[in-house]
Amino acid sequence: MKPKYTLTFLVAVALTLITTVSCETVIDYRGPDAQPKVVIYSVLQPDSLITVLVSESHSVFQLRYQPRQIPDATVRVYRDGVLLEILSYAEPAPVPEYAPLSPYSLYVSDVNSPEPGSIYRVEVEVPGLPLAYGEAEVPFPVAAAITDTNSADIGNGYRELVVRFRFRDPAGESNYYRFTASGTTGYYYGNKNEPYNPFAPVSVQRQELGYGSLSDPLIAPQQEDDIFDMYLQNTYFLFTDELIPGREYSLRLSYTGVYPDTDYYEFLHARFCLNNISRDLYLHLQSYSAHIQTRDNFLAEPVPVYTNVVNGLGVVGASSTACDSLKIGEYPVDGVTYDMWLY
Amino acid sequence: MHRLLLFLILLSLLSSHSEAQRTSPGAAATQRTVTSQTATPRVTVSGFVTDAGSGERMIDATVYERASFTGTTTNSYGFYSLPLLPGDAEIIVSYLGYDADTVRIWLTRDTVMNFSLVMSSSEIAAVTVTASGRRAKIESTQMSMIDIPVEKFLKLPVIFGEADVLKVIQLLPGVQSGTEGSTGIYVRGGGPDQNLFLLDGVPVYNANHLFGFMSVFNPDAVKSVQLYKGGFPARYGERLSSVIDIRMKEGNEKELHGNFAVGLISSKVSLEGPIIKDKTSFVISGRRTYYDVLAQPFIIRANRDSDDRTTGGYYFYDLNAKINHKFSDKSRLYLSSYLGRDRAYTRSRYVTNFQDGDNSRTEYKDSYGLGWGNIITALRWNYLITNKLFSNTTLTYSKYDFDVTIESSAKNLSTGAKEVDYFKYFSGIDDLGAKIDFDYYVSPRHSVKFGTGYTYHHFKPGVTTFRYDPMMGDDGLDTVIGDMRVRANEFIMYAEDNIDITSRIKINAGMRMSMFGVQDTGYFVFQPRLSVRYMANDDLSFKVSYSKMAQFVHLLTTSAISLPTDLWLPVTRKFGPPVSHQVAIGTGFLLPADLEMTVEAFYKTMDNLIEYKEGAFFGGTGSGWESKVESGRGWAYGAEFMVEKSYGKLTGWIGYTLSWTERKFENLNFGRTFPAKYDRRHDISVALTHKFSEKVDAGLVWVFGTGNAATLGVSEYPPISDNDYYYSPVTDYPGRNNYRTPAYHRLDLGVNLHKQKKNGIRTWSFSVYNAYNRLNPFFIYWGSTWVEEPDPANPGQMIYYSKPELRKVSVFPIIPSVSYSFKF
Repeated sequence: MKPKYTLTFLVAVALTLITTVSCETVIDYRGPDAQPKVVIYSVLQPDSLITVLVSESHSVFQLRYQPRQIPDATVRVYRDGVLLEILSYAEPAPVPEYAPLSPYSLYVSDVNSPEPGSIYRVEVEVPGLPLAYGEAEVPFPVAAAITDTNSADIGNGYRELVVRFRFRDPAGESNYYRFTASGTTGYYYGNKNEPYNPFAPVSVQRQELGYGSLSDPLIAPQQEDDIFDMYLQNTYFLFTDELIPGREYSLRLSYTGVYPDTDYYEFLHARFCLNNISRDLYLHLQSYSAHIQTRDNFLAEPVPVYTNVVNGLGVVGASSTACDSLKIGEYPVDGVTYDMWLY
Repeated sequence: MHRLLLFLILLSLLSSHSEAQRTSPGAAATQRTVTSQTATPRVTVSGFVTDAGSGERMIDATVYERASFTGTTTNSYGFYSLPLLPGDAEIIVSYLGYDADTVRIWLTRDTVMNFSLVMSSSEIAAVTVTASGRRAKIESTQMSMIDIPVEKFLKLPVIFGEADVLKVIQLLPGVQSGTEGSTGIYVRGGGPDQNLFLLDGVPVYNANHLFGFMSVFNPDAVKSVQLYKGGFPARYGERLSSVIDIRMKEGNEKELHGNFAVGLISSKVSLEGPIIKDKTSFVISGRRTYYDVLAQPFIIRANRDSDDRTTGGYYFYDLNAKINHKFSDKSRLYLSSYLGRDRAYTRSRYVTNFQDGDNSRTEYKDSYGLGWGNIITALRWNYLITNKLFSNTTLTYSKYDFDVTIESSAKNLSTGAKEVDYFKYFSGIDDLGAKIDFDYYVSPRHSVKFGTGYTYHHFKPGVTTFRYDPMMGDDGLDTVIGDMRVRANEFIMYAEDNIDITSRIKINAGMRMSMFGVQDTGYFVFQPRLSVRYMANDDLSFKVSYSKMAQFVHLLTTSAISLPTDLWLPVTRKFGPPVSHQVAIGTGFLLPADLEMTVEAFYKTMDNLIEYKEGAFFGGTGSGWESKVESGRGWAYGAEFMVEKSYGKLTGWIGYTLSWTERKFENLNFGRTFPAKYDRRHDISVALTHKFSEKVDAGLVWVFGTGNAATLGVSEYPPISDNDYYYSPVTDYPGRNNYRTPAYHRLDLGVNLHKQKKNGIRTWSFSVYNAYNRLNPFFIYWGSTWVEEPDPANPGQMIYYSKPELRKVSVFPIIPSVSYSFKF
């Protein structure tokens, strides 16, 4: 074989080798064992009874892990340093045999609802695990109201509904907010180029409408032309008062394509809420959202989920809510056929 | 400004103190000599030191007068200036690997003496005559600097047989490598953007080819490489952690020479020679990979039975060229340039084999391209104003850009009608600069360097173009987004003073002032520098240094290898310039058997560092980057040990680094301190070459490093969720970078066989990378395997479940390589 052919052959073989040699091997984990911890989820809301969800973490090495109910936990709630109540375990509702067991054990107060301005401490003791606890101060609700609603034709047969939702950030304190909006909508499935056909149904659906807030720079400060972004930012529609300390502000909520045509008995019944939440809940939701959205992105550094639970995981937070409603079109209307998709 | 004044006052007090020592009567012998020097008018011997074979000017050659024990070294352009007493003088000029030149002369007036050194034919002779050269390093005030012998690193075995400057730098103490095979370097706890790569004095922004597995520096074009890890002289700045000063060859003034080499990855050719003998010379070097060419037969074969014609490939090329002209002994002009580009692409073409309703066929074409590259140019004028004052004026241009292009088209072959969708993402940076540097030789024991410079930066952080033709009734689109061009002005001034305070104590004190204007915001950073050397005896010195450094650019990078998504950005109103303070203390001494040992300890703090937020990564444009990063600080400390042998048949070094590197960001890791990704407790490197004969030499490299830090969770829990049954568990991470990947180690072996042929020397180089096939981790991750086994609770039944596994991905097992080169 002539030298030049030898060299060509060697080059080809080497290149083939290089492209195929990367290999994967299983290695031992050499780190501290992961001990199970108590997981507490409690979002204290003045308009609800105090509830605490108790769960536990488990090592990834725990093979064939199955969640369990923890009926024997001791859940104590303190208000401003004084024991308020020991919560009772609530049996979960019966589930089909094939359904997996819920990992959340519900403990609920019989009588107590959180009071704004008070500090609550939730303490959970699960046999065999260290005592875990967290605290939250229940914020006062921040009044909010719809101040303006309008719609405009944006071409190609689409309309944009814009709702202004106004509130005043309380001065002299740092506030953390979460915007939520839910609605029931009705869409006419008939031909809108023809008169209303009573036999063509109006499809009724429930929808989360929070995404409309992403047109507001306060909630979506990263609304840039970020073409390669792999995950949706701010899935919980969280924001702070950093840019509007003590000021009045109107959130701009923009929805494209949902404006109902009342001539065809379409409708939108929506409820817009401003949740004044505790800082810990804000951090937990923010980090949890990023954690889930980026967990499979090998380019991004993993996101640890924030916790304020000492000796445990989860969050003890609080939220006070102020809402306003929007109704466009009537529902239900006698004689109209509805196709219900309420799940 | 107050600090500047204070510093200048201190400097002048120090100078006046040294003058007082020189004139004090009854001082020690060496001091009496100095007294005599100030009393008697001096004459200056100056000139250039060149390689006799090529005419190349020699950097850091030692020029020494035997009787007066005074000496100096040549500067970056081979110039020296040595003021001496009139009378008999014996001047010795030496350089590693060259026979020393000794001249005896009766000095009566300023004299110009140029030296041409001949490459040593005897290793023993070289050892004998270079004792003063060995001491030069010990005697210098400069610490934390390593002069990398180019001719030696070419003999070391490397992956794919491709010699690479940066991979040799990775073997030095204080320098951590990034992921395996890459050219990324992390110096004393700094990040990859904290290294200033200078090619003939021009900054290189992206020093990587082949996604970081090779550097842009073609070893055939490189004349010298110096790495500064600390104790930075004031003439260097604009990066926190290191300066890698690479000088290109100037070109042989005497005769035409060249070489070519064929390797596994690339082939290269280099040519140098005179255009006008002893006046004008040139050097030109180029290389190109041929993976794309070799892959074509396989691609054609794969397409043989397909209607879809797809092709693709990857290549890079680079070209170094330099021309210089000597107007006179005092005046010389250089024009040097580098051009390099990487390109990865795929193209496909598909023609429908059916006819549409109008009896036409349609041709579809898709193409994807990814490219990046640098263009660097320097026009330099050396002028000897007097025999004590040397000037260097430089105009520089540096451009780096990368782009992603996607284009799809559909063409009606009957009518010729064509619709095209086009997408292009583009990012880059252009620098245009001018600077002037002066070297002033006041006396044998006192020299000054000073200079000033201006750079105009033009950042294009990310520009995206969308264009598509009207189709299916819509209006089409032709738009550009993310065009956030930023222009910035940078102005620097520096001065450094190299003074012998006594025969034992020498200092290099300097200051650098940097001004950076961007977005109507101005930054001024005053950076004092100080290095002090104490000679305990002829073979032992102690050194201490302090440096403050600042930089005005950030590199946003999310991955371990160099991707084109790495983005250079200027400091802004929100994110100010990163600043570091570094203190180092060390000693250097000569050991028997031609060994030199250096030991250094350092402590470095870094402020205004930026890192991506947890979960964030580069999203395509530069316009919103500030919302994705966090600012924090870091620090590193440790000790470095290096035993080096530069002379004899066996040469090389053994290095060991013990270090800690940590970061603290208010909004990362919940504000807790965490180890940096490349925090490496232990790092050992052995790099040796042995010359068995003129025909055979061999090299060995062995490295060991503590595993890289990784973030790994080992427990899970249910999330805050509305759905009780179907949820994705949350992983509990104990902390950022909480886990260590397995230790890294490998052995590389190589042998070079030389043979004198009629027209030159041919060399076959054989090497084995990772000789004992250690599967080092490239990265680790949690995977799982599906287990099927008998159910112990229900005999006869099977159970199925997923079992987690920690997996290690390795990319470079044992890799033999061969290359052929011919030098004439």
